[in-house]
Amino acid sequence: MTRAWYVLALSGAFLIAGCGSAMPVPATQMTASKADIRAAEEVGAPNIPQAALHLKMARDQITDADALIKDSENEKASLVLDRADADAQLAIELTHAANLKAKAADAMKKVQELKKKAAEGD
Amino acid sequence: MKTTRYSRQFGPLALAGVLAGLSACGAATPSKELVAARSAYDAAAQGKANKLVPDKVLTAKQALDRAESAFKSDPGSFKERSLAYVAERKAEIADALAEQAEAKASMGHADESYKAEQDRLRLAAKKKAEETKKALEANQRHLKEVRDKLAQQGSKLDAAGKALKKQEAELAARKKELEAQQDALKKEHAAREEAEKKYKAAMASLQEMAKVQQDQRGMVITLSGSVLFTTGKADLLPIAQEKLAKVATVLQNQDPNKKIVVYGYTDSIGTRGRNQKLSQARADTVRNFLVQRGVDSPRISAVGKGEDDPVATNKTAEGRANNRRVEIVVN
Repeated sequence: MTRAWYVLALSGAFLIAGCGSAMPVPATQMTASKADIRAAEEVGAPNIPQAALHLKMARDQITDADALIKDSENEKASLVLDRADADAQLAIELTHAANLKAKAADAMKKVQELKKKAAEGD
Repeated sequence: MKTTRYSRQFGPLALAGVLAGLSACGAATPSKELVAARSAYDAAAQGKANKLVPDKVLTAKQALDRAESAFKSDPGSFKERSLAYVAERKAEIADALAEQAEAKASMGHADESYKAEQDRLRLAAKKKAEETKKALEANQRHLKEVRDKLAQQGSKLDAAGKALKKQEAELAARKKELEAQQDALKKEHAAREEAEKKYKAAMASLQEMAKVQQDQRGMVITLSGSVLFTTGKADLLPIAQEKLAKVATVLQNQDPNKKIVVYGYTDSIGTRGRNQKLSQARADTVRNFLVQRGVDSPRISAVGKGEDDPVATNKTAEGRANNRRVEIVVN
Protein backbone atom coordinates (compact mmCIF):
# COMPACT_ATOMS: atom_id res chain seq x y z
CA MET A 1 0.00 0.00 0.00
CA THR A 2 2.75 2.40 1.01
CA ARG A 3 4.63 1.59 -2.15
CA ALA A 4 1.56 2.22 -4.30
CA TRP A 5 1.16 5.44 -2.44
CA TYR A 6 4.80 6.39 -3.25
CA VAL A 7 4.22 5.70 -6.93
CA LEU A 8 1.04 7.76 -6.83
CA ALA A 9 2.79 10.61 -5.01
CA LEU A 10 5.73 10.37 -7.46
CA SER A 11 3.39 10.65 -10.47
CA GLY A 12 1.58 13.51 -8.80
CA ALA A 13 4.82 15.31 -8.09
CA PHE A 14 5.91 14.96 -11.69
CA LEU A 15 2.60 16.31 -12.81
CA ILE A 16 2.72 19.26 -10.41
CA ALA A 17 6.38 20.07 -11.02
CA GLY A 18 5.82 19.62 -14.68
CA CYS A 19 8.92 17.49 -15.03
CA GLY A 20 10.85 20.13 -12.98
CA SER A 21 12.77 17.50 -10.89
CA ALA A 22 15.15 15.09 -12.52
CA MET A 23 15.53 12.99 -9.27
CA PRO A 24 13.27 9.95 -9.00
CA VAL A 25 11.78 8.74 -5.73
CA PRO A 26 14.64 6.95 -3.74
CA ALA A 27 12.61 3.78 -3.31
CA THR A 28 15.64 1.43 -3.27
CA GLN A 29 17.39 3.55 -0.65
CA MET A 30 14.22 3.54 1.41
CA THR A 31 14.06 -0.25 1.25
CA ALA A 32 17.75 -0.56 2.09
CA SER A 33 17.53 1.83 5.06
CA LYS A 34 14.51 0.05 6.45
CA ALA A 35 16.32 -3.27 6.08
CA ASP A 36 19.25 -1.81 8.03
CA ILE A 37 16.91 -0.66 10.76
CA ARG A 38 15.40 -4.14 11.02
CA ALA A 39 18.87 -5.62 11.14
CA ALA A 40 19.79 -3.22 13.94
CA GLU A 41 16.67 -4.26 15.82
CA GLU A 42 17.48 -7.94 15.32
CA VAL A 43 21.05 -7.70 16.63
CA GLY A 44 19.66 -6.09 19.77
CA ALA A 45 20.33 -2.38 19.32
CA PRO A 46 17.29 -1.44 21.49
CA ASN A 47 19.11 -3.00 24.49
CA ILE A 48 22.26 -0.89 24.11
CA PRO A 49 21.53 2.76 25.08
CA GLN A 50 23.93 4.38 22.58
CA ALA A 51 22.76 2.07 19.77
CA ALA A 52 19.12 2.62 20.70
CA LEU A 53 19.67 6.37 20.35
CA HIS A 54 20.96 6.01 16.79
CA LEU A 55 18.23 3.52 15.97
CA LYS A 56 15.67 6.16 16.99
CA MET A 57 17.44 8.76 14.86
CA ALA A 58 17.31 6.40 11.86
CA ARG A 59 13.60 5.84 12.36
CA ASP A 60 12.94 9.60 12.67
CA GLN A 61 14.87 10.14 9.46
CA ILE A 62 12.74 7.53 7.68
CA THR A 63 9.67 9.55 8.76
CA ASP A 64 11.31 12.75 7.51
CA ALA A 65 12.24 11.10 4.20
CA ASP A 66 8.66 9.97 3.77
CA ALA A 67 7.47 13.56 4.30
CA LEU A 68 10.06 14.89 1.83
CA ILE A 69 9.00 12.34 -0.78
CA LYS A 70 5.45 13.49 -0.25
CA ASP A 71 6.63 17.00 -0.97
CA SER A 72 8.47 15.70 -4.01
CA GLU A 73 11.75 16.68 -2.37
CA ASN A 74 13.36 13.51 -3.64
CA GLU A 75 16.92 14.74 -3.57
CA LYS A 76 16.63 15.82 0.05
CA ALA A 77 14.82 12.57 0.85
CA SER A 78 17.75 10.64 -0.64
CA LEU A 79 20.22 12.56 1.51
CA VAL A 80 18.05 11.97 4.60
CA LEU A 81 17.85 8.26 3.78
CA ASP A 82 21.67 8.25 3.62
CA ARG A 83 21.64 9.62 7.13
CA ALA A 84 19.11 7.01 8.24
CA ASP A 85 21.30 4.30 6.74
CA ALA A 86 24.42 5.65 8.46
CA ASP A 87 22.61 5.78 11.83
CA ALA A 88 21.22 2.25 11.42
CA GLN A 89 24.67 0.93 10.51
CA LEU A 90 26.23 2.75 13.43
CA ALA A 91 23.54 1.25 15.70
CA ILE A 92 24.45 -2.21 14.40
CA GLU A 93 28.19 -1.72 14.92
CA LEU A 94 27.74 -0.18 18.35
CA THR A 95 25.62 -3.18 19.32
CA HIS A 96 28.25 -5.60 18.05
CA ALA A 97 30.97 -3.65 19.85
CA ALA A 98 29.05 -3.68 23.12
CA ASN A 99 28.28 -7.40 22.82
CA LEU A 100 31.89 -8.23 21.99
CA LYS A 101 33.14 -6.09 24.87
CA ALA A 102 30.82 -7.95 27.21
CA LYS A 103 32.03 -11.27 25.84
CA ALA A 104 35.67 -10.20 26.18
CA ALA A 105 35.05 -9.10 29.74
CA ASP A 106 33.40 -12.46 30.39
CA ALA A 107 36.35 -14.33 28.92
CA MET A 108 38.76 -12.29 31.05
CA LYS A 109 36.66 -13.04 34.08
CA LYS A 110 36.77 -16.74 33.31
CA VAL A 111 40.56 -16.59 33.04
CA GLN A 112 40.75 -14.82 36.38
CA GLU A 113 38.45 -17.37 37.94
CA LEU A 114 40.54 -20.24 36.56
CA LYS A 115 43.70 -18.62 37.86
CA LYS A 116 42.09 -18.09 41.24
CA LYS A 117 40.90 -21.68 41.30
CA ALA A 118 44.33 -22.85 40.30
CA ALA A 119 45.90 -20.74 43.06
CA GLU A 120 43.45 -22.20 45.60
CA GLY A 121 43.97 -25.69 44.25
CA ASP A 122 47.78 -25.54 44.50
CA MET B 1 2.80 22.12 0.14
CA LYS B 2 4.06 20.95 3.56
CA THR B 3 7.19 22.55 4.94
CA THR B 4 9.73 19.97 6.28
CA ARG B 5 11.74 20.19 9.45
CA TYR B 6 14.82 20.68 7.38
CA SER B 7 13.56 23.62 5.37
CA ARG B 8 12.45 25.20 8.64
CA GLN B 9 15.74 24.44 10.27
CA PHE B 10 18.11 25.17 7.45
CA GLY B 11 16.10 27.80 5.60
CA PRO B 12 17.73 30.90 7.09
CA LEU B 13 21.21 29.36 6.84
CA ALA B 14 20.59 28.48 3.21
CA LEU B 15 19.65 31.99 2.65
CA ALA B 16 22.86 33.18 4.34
CA GLY B 17 24.80 30.75 2.12
CA VAL B 18 23.17 32.12 -0.96
CA LEU B 19 23.96 35.62 0.20
CA ALA B 20 27.56 34.63 0.89
CA GLY B 21 27.75 33.11 -2.57
CA LEU B 22 26.41 36.27 -4.04
CA SER B 23 28.97 38.40 -2.17
CA ALA B 24 31.51 36.11 -3.91
CA CYS B 25 34.56 37.04 -1.90
CA GLY B 26 33.11 36.46 1.60
CA ALA B 27 34.70 33.43 3.47
CA ALA B 28 32.28 30.52 3.87
CA THR B 29 31.60 29.14 7.36
CA PRO B 30 31.42 25.31 7.66
CA SER B 31 28.22 23.91 9.07
CA LYS B 32 28.18 22.52 12.61
CA GLU B 33 27.70 19.04 11.05
CA LEU B 34 30.90 19.48 9.04
CA VAL B 35 32.77 20.67 12.11
CA ALA B 36 31.53 17.65 14.01
CA ALA B 37 32.42 15.37 11.09
CA ARG B 38 35.96 16.73 10.86
CA SER B 39 36.59 16.27 14.56
CA ALA B 40 35.08 12.77 14.50
CA TYR B 41 37.28 11.86 11.57
CA ASP B 42 40.40 13.30 13.24
CA ALA B 43 39.64 11.27 16.33
CA ALA B 44 39.28 8.09 14.27
CA ALA B 45 42.36 8.79 12.16
CA GLN B 46 44.53 9.53 15.19
CA GLY B 47 43.08 6.81 17.38
CA LYS B 48 43.15 3.04 17.39
CA ALA B 49 40.76 2.82 14.39
CA ASN B 50 43.58 3.83 12.06
CA LYS B 51 45.59 0.83 13.18
CA LEU B 52 42.79 -1.69 13.56
CA VAL B 53 40.39 -0.84 10.70
CA PRO B 54 42.24 1.43 8.25
CA ASP B 55 39.82 0.62 5.42
CA LYS B 56 36.88 1.92 7.48
CA VAL B 57 38.83 5.06 8.30
CA LEU B 58 39.39 5.42 4.57
CA THR B 59 35.64 5.06 3.97
CA ALA B 60 35.06 7.80 6.57
CA LYS B 61 37.64 9.96 4.85
CA GLN B 62 35.90 9.53 1.51
CA ALA B 63 32.59 10.48 3.09
CA LEU B 64 34.21 13.53 4.66
CA ASP B 65 35.74 14.45 1.29
CA ARG B 66 32.30 14.39 -0.29
CA ALA B 67 31.01 16.68 2.46
CA GLU B 68 33.98 18.99 2.02
CA SER B 69 33.41 19.20 -1.74
CA ALA B 70 29.75 19.97 -1.14
CA PHE B 71 30.86 22.65 1.29
CA LYS B 72 33.16 24.12 -1.36
CA SER B 73 30.62 24.12 -4.12
CA ASP B 74 27.61 24.95 -2.05
CA PRO B 75 28.52 26.00 1.52
CA GLY B 76 25.79 25.69 4.06
CA SER B 77 23.69 23.60 1.73
CA PHE B 78 21.43 20.78 2.89
CA LYS B 79 23.65 18.48 0.92
CA GLU B 80 26.78 19.62 2.76
CA ARG B 81 25.11 19.10 6.10
CA SER B 82 23.67 15.76 5.21
CA LEU B 83 26.94 14.47 3.77
CA ALA B 84 28.80 15.82 6.84
CA TYR B 85 26.27 14.05 9.10
CA VAL B 86 26.88 10.81 7.23
CA ALA B 87 30.68 11.39 7.36
CA GLU B 88 30.49 11.82 11.14
CA ARG B 89 28.57 8.54 11.44
CA LYS B 90 31.13 6.79 9.20
CA ALA B 91 33.93 7.96 11.50
CA GLU B 92 31.92 6.74 14.47
CA ILE B 93 31.33 3.41 12.72
CA ALA B 94 35.09 3.11 12.22
CA ASP B 95 35.53 3.71 15.97
CA ALA B 96 32.88 1.12 16.79
CA LEU B 97 34.55 -1.40 14.48
CA ALA B 98 37.91 -0.62 16.06
CA GLU B 99 36.39 -1.36 19.46
CA GLN B 100 35.01 -4.61 18.06
CA ALA B 101 38.44 -5.55 16.77
CA GLU B 102 39.94 -4.67 20.11
CA ALA B 103 37.33 -6.70 21.95
CA LYS B 104 37.93 -9.64 19.59
CA ALA B 105 41.68 -9.36 20.16
CA SER B 106 41.20 -9.25 23.90
CA MET B 107 38.87 -12.23 23.64
CA GLY B 108 41.56 -14.03 21.69
CA HIS B 109 44.10 -13.18 24.37
CA ALA B 110 41.69 -14.32 27.04
CA ASP B 111 41.11 -17.60 25.21
CA GLU B 112 44.83 -18.10 24.85
CA SER B 113 45.39 -17.31 28.50
CA TYR B 114 42.57 -19.65 29.40
CA LYS B 115 44.05 -22.43 27.32
CA ALA B 116 47.54 -21.73 28.63
CA GLU B 117 46.25 -21.77 32.19
CA GLN B 118 44.37 -25.00 31.50
CA ASP B 119 47.51 -26.51 30.01
CA ARG B 120 49.50 -25.35 33.00
CA LEU B 121 46.93 -26.84 35.35
CA ARG B 122 46.81 -30.07 33.40
CA LEU B 123 50.60 -30.25 33.43
CA ALA B 124 50.72 -29.48 37.13
CA ALA B 125 48.09 -32.12 37.80
CA LYS B 126 50.03 -34.61 35.69
CA LYS B 127 53.26 -33.74 37.47
CA LYS B 128 51.59 -34.08 40.82
CA ALA B 129 50.12 -37.41 39.80
CA GLU B 130 53.57 -38.56 38.69
CA GLU B 131 55.11 -37.38 41.95
CA THR B 132 52.40 -39.14 43.88
CA LYS B 133 52.99 -42.26 41.85
CA LYS B 134 56.73 -42.06 42.46
CA ALA B 135 56.21 -41.53 46.16
CA LEU B 136 53.85 -44.48 46.20
CA GLU B 137 56.36 -46.64 44.40
CA ALA B 138 59.11 -45.57 46.80
CA ASN B 139 56.82 -46.45 49.66
CA GLN B 140 56.10 -49.84 48.19
CA ARG B 141 59.80 -50.44 47.64
CA HIS B 142 60.51 -49.49 51.24
CA LEU B 143 57.70 -51.73 52.40
CA LYS B 144 59.10 -54.61 50.40
CA GLU B 145 62.56 -54.03 51.87
CA VAL B 146 61.13 -54.02 55.36
CA ARG B 147 59.12 -57.14 54.57
CA ASP B 148 62.22 -58.85 53.12
CA LYS B 149 64.25 -57.85 56.15
CA LEU B 150 61.53 -59.13 58.42
CA ALA B 151 61.40 -62.38 56.47
CA GLN B 152 65.20 -62.66 56.74
CA GLN B 153 65.11 -61.99 60.43
CA GLY B 154 62.27 -64.46 60.71
CA SER B 155 64.30 -67.19 59.01
CA LYS B 156 67.33 -66.28 61.13
CA LEU B 157 65.13 -66.51 64.16
CA ASP B 158 63.86 -69.87 62.95
CA ALA B 159 67.42 -71.06 62.44
CA ALA B 160 68.38 -69.75 65.87
CA GLY B 161 65.34 -71.48 67.33
CA LYS B 162 66.34 -74.74 65.66
CA ALA B 163 69.93 -74.36 66.86
CA LEU B 164 68.62 -73.66 70.33
CA LYS B 165 66.41 -76.74 70.23
CA LYS B 166 69.35 -78.79 69.02
CA GLN B 167 71.50 -77.43 71.84
CA GLU B 168 68.73 -78.10 74.29
CA ALA B 169 68.43 -81.64 72.97
CA GLU B 170 72.21 -82.05 73.21
CA LEU B 171 72.13 -80.61 76.68
CA ALA B 172 69.32 -82.95 77.65
CA ALA B 173 71.25 -85.88 76.16
CA ARG B 174 74.38 -84.79 78.02
CA LYS B 175 72.37 -84.39 81.19
CA LYS B 176 70.95 -87.85 80.74
CA GLU B 177 74.43 -89.16 80.08
CA LEU B 178 75.70 -87.36 83.16
CA GLU B 179 72.84 -88.75 85.20
CA ALA B 180 73.63 -92.19 83.85
CA GLN B 181 77.29 -91.63 84.74
CA GLN B 182 76.29 -90.42 88.15
CA ASP B 183 74.02 -93.43 88.52
CA ALA B 184 76.86 -95.67 87.42
CA LEU B 185 79.16 -93.81 89.78
CA LYS B 186 76.67 -94.20 92.58
CA LYS B 187 76.29 -97.84 91.79
CA GLU B 188 80.04 -98.18 91.62
CA HIS B 189 80.35 -96.26 94.83
CA ALA B 190 77.67 -98.41 96.38
CA ALA B 191 79.37 -101.51 95.07
CA ARG B 192 82.68 -100.25 96.42
CA GLU B 193 81.10 -99.46 99.72
CA GLU B 194 79.50 -102.84 99.66
CA ALA B 195 82.86 -104.43 98.83
CA GLU B 196 84.59 -102.37 101.50
CA LYS B 197 81.91 -103.31 103.96
CA LYS B 198 82.38 -106.95 103.07
CA TYR B 199 86.13 -106.52 103.30
CA LYS B 200 85.85 -104.80 106.63
CA ALA B 201 83.46 -107.42 107.85
CA ALA B 202 85.76 -110.14 106.56
CA MET B 203 88.74 -108.38 108.09
CA ALA B 204 86.88 -107.99 111.37
CA SER B 205 85.91 -111.63 111.51
CA LEU B 206 89.39 -112.52 110.37
CA GLN B 207 90.83 -110.53 113.20
CA GLU B 208 88.60 -112.47 115.56
CA MET B 209 89.93 -115.82 114.40
CA ALA B 210 93.44 -114.86 113.32
CA LYS B 211 96.18 -112.50 114.21
CA VAL B 212 96.61 -109.80 111.68
CA GLN B 213 99.65 -107.58 112.01
CA GLN B 214 102.08 -105.46 110.01
CA ASP B 215 105.82 -106.13 110.17
CA GLN B 216 108.78 -105.62 107.86
CA ARG B 217 107.46 -108.39 105.58
CA GLY B 218 104.11 -106.61 105.01
CA MET B 219 100.68 -107.65 106.22
CA VAL B 220 100.91 -110.94 108.05
CA ILE B 221 97.84 -113.07 108.77
CA THR B 222 98.62 -115.79 111.27
CA LEU B 223 96.27 -118.76 111.56
CA SER B 224 96.57 -121.25 114.34
CA GLY B 225 97.45 -124.75 113.03
CA SER B 226 95.13 -126.50 115.45
CA VAL B 227 92.20 -124.64 114.02
CA LEU B 228 93.06 -125.69 110.47
CA PHE B 229 94.34 -129.22 110.63
CA THR B 230 94.12 -132.35 112.73
CA THR B 231 97.42 -133.33 114.30
CA GLY B 232 99.94 -134.77 111.82
CA LYS B 233 97.69 -134.26 108.76
CA ALA B 234 97.43 -131.72 105.90
CA ASP B 235 93.61 -131.95 105.36
CA LEU B 236 91.56 -128.92 106.21
CA LEU B 237 89.01 -129.17 109.01
CA PRO B 238 85.48 -128.14 107.99
CA ILE B 239 85.62 -125.07 110.23
CA ALA B 240 88.95 -124.12 108.63
CA GLN B 241 87.30 -123.88 105.27
CA GLU B 242 84.86 -121.35 106.64
CA LYS B 243 87.70 -119.29 108.06
CA LEU B 244 89.86 -119.51 104.96
CA ALA B 245 86.91 -118.36 102.84
CA LYS B 246 86.99 -115.14 104.84
CA VAL B 247 90.74 -114.91 104.31
CA ALA B 248 90.17 -115.34 100.58
CA THR B 249 87.70 -112.44 100.61
CA VAL B 250 90.23 -110.21 102.35
CA LEU B 251 92.99 -111.23 99.95
CA GLN B 252 90.81 -110.55 96.94
CA ASN B 253 90.36 -106.99 98.14
CA GLN B 254 94.10 -106.39 98.41
CA ASP B 255 96.16 -104.66 95.75
CA PRO B 256 96.33 -107.19 92.89
CA ASN B 257 100.03 -106.34 92.31
CA LYS B 258 100.97 -107.57 95.73
CA LYS B 259 102.38 -111.09 96.03
CA ILE B 260 100.97 -113.51 98.52
CA VAL B 261 103.11 -116.16 100.15
CA VAL B 262 101.60 -118.89 102.33
CA TYR B 263 104.12 -120.10 104.96
CA GLY B 264 103.59 -123.39 106.80
CA TYR B 265 105.14 -123.92 110.34
CA THR B 266 105.29 -126.85 112.77
CA ASP B 267 106.50 -127.33 116.36
CA SER B 268 109.66 -129.16 117.12
CA ILE B 269 107.95 -132.47 117.91
CA GLY B 270 109.00 -135.23 115.49
CA THR B 271 111.80 -135.30 112.92
CA ARG B 272 112.95 -132.24 111.16
CA GLY B 273 112.41 -133.76 107.72
CA ARG B 274 108.88 -134.88 108.52
CA ASN B 275 108.04 -131.48 109.93
CA GLN B 276 109.39 -129.86 106.80
CA LYS B 277 107.16 -132.03 104.57
CA LEU B 278 104.10 -131.55 106.71
CA SER B 279 104.51 -127.75 106.72
CA GLN B 280 104.91 -127.70 102.95
CA ALA B 281 101.80 -129.90 102.47
CA ARG B 282 99.79 -127.69 104.76
CA ALA B 283 100.93 -124.47 102.99
CA ASP B 284 100.01 -126.08 99.64
CA THR B 285 96.56 -127.06 100.92
CA VAL B 286 95.86 -123.51 102.08
CA ARG B 287 97.18 -122.06 98.85
CA ASN B 288 95.00 -124.40 96.75
CA PHE B 289 91.95 -123.58 98.77
CA LEU B 290 92.56 -119.85 98.33
CA VAL B 291 93.00 -120.29 94.57
CA GLN B 292 89.81 -122.29 94.58
CA ARG B 293 88.13 -119.36 96.29
CA GLY B 294 89.09 -116.88 93.63
CA VAL B 295 92.56 -115.64 94.61
CA ASP B 296 94.68 -115.17 91.50
CA SER B 297 96.91 -118.24 91.22
CA PRO B 298 100.16 -116.66 89.87
CA ARG B 299 100.17 -114.17 92.81
CA ILE B 300 100.21 -116.84 95.42
CA SER B 301 102.90 -119.27 96.35
CA ALA B 302 103.34 -121.76 99.20
CA VAL B 303 106.48 -122.31 101.33
CA GLY B 304 107.00 -125.02 104.01
CA LYS B 305 109.18 -123.75 106.85
CA GLY B 306 109.07 -126.81 109.15
CA GLU B 307 110.01 -126.04 112.71
CA ASP B 308 111.98 -122.86 111.78
CA ASP B 309 111.24 -119.40 113.05
CA PRO B 310 109.26 -120.38 116.14
CA VAL B 311 107.21 -117.55 117.65
CA ALA B 312 107.17 -119.21 121.11
CA THR B 313 109.03 -121.81 123.15
CA ASN B 314 108.59 -125.48 122.10
CA LYS B 315 109.02 -126.51 125.74
CA THR B 316 105.45 -125.77 126.80
CA ALA B 317 102.24 -127.04 125.22
CA GLU B 318 101.00 -123.48 124.80
CA GLY B 319 104.26 -122.45 123.13
CA ARG B 320 104.12 -125.44 120.76
CA ALA B 321 100.49 -124.65 119.91
CA ASN B 322 101.55 -121.12 118.95
CA ASN B 323 104.35 -122.41 116.79
CA ARG B 324 101.97 -124.74 114.88
CA ARG B 325 100.67 -122.09 112.45
CA VAL B 326 100.15 -120.87 108.94
CA GLU B 327 101.25 -117.32 108.02
CA ILE B 328 99.94 -115.57 104.96
CA VAL B 329 102.19 -112.64 103.99
CA VAL B 330 100.94 -110.03 101.59
CA ASN B 331 103.59 -107.73 100.16
